Amino acid sequence: MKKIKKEKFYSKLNDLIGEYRVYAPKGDRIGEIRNSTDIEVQTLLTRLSAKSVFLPQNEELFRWDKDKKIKIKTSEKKTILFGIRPCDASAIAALDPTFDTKEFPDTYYKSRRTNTIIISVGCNEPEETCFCSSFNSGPFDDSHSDVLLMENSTEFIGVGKEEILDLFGFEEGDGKKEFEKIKDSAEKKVQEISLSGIKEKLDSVKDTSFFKDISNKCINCGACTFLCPTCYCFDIEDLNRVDGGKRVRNWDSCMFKIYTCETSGNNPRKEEELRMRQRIMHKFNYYPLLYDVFGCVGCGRCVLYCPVNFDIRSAIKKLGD
Amino acid sequence: MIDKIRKEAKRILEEGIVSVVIGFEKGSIPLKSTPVFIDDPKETEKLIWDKFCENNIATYIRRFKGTKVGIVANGCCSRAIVTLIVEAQFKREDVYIIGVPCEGMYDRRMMLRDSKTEKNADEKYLYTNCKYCAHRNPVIYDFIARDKIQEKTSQFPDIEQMQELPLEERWKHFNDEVSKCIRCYACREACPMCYCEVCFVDVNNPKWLEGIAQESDVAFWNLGRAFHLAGRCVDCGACERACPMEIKILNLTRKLNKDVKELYDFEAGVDIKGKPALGEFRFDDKEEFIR
Repeated sequence: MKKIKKEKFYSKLNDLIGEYRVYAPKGDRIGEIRNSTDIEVQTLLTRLSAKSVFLPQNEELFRWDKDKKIKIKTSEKKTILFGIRPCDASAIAALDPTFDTKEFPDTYYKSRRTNTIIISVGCNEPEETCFCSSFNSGPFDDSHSDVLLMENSTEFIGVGKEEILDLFGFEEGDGKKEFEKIKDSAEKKVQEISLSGIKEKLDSVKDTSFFKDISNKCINCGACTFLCPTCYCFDIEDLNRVDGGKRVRNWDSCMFKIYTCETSGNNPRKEEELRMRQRIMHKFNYYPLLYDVFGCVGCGRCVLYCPVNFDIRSAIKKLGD
Repeated sequence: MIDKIRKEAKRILEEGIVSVVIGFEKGSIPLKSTPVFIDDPKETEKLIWDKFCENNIATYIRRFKGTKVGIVANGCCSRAIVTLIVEAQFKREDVYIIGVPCEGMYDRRMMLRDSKTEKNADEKYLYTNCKYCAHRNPVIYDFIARDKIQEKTSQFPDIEQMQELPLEERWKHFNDEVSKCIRCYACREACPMCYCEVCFVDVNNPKWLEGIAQESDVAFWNLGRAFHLAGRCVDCGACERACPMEIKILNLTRKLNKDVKELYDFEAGVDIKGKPALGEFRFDDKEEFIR
């Protein structure tokens, strides 16, 4: 297994800033950094997930001037996304089938995706709310990262694409035993909930009483969906001024009452339970049906930050009963 | 005390006085109690009351129009109920209030940062609004679960301190706070007083503000919401506790509460027969703003 001293890694990362745009954990989000000292790699999970790197909360698609001449923002810089957790990396992979389709690729998303190297860091100390193991994943899942690192007090042990390991100057070392040991102990800390047959179970729910029952305390804010690394719903808005304007794409949330409100005033999802149904069905039924992947990676943010402690794990368990 | 709450909840359900009791049960994550709706008298054992019942559950009452609701209510929850009754959202006889004198809730996020547990936390962890709460006893109730506790007069040392800062610093503080806003509207949904059928941010004709989380829009949203609560806010802190980004929303609402108290000698949700501060005209109003 290949290893590198942390100082050496960070100094190389600093050298790459400029040539690459570097994103890393910074405060409550994944932000662009100017120096590796800004990185808060200790944060287990940033409050806002890494999805904002590929799907910003507000994104300008194009703008026009007063003569109605349109200018499109394109060409993305090479980017390194460092320090995200394996769950966030899986979440980005789960967004691909929606935005990177053969027929209608989203050029904005796709250019960022292809220009970005993902270097994730495994979780030595997962939270109580982590349930990534339920999705054939785990705290050291390397399947959706270009490189996965394991951190000890002085070094990073890395697995993944050789060219990236070489770019940073990783050297051959004897980290395998340590890697396996930390991985094993971390995996034991993650709760696994059974998802077997969940798609079918949800299909068999014929009325809304189940959703009414689980959603009674939900206050229908958008905290869970905005913090969720896989929720990608958006709304497109034209911001028009006399001297021009721009078209922006903003995050939206199926938990909002106006999300499905039609111009006539009719709202097919007026009731809270119907919106909860949509959220659960989209993650655990429609998404796996369409793309063979769940719309949830078990990061636990929605559990941690829900104002009223709606716990999606309990909802899934209840379905199993 | 908890036995009394459970027993009374059980009784009112069994006797058909109410069809549901809203209270708290143990949550699924540390230091968190969670709202619960009980319609089966056998399930009243679930009810708890601890330092982590931080939501204002009066926000749920309006969902049960047409049925009678029982609710476990502390001071601020009862004040929210009073305000909602004054604003004609439901009638006094529609709610059965199991009153709980309350010595304040603990700030769970601060405790988690300090690695505190239920056992070793102390008054230092009281939420600011709980620390300066002037209505710890329920203002109205049908049953009370323990003896009333001593009230304090309302205080705003946190706001006074803030007011003393130079304008630029306050402006910076305000912008730093609201720039964290992601427009998820957890504050609005957690607030019992935010019940507009269509919130001003959701109106698109006329369009009051755009859907993007840029500086001017998040500032407008946070200020707009606070102003809509002037003279109506019961200082329960539900908005700030709900905020996933930990924005200090109470600096705005508590400032307005302080102003309303000084200008009109009014506190929301204290008098069930009183009119809202901004819904009434009196000849002795100071009207100092008209000059």
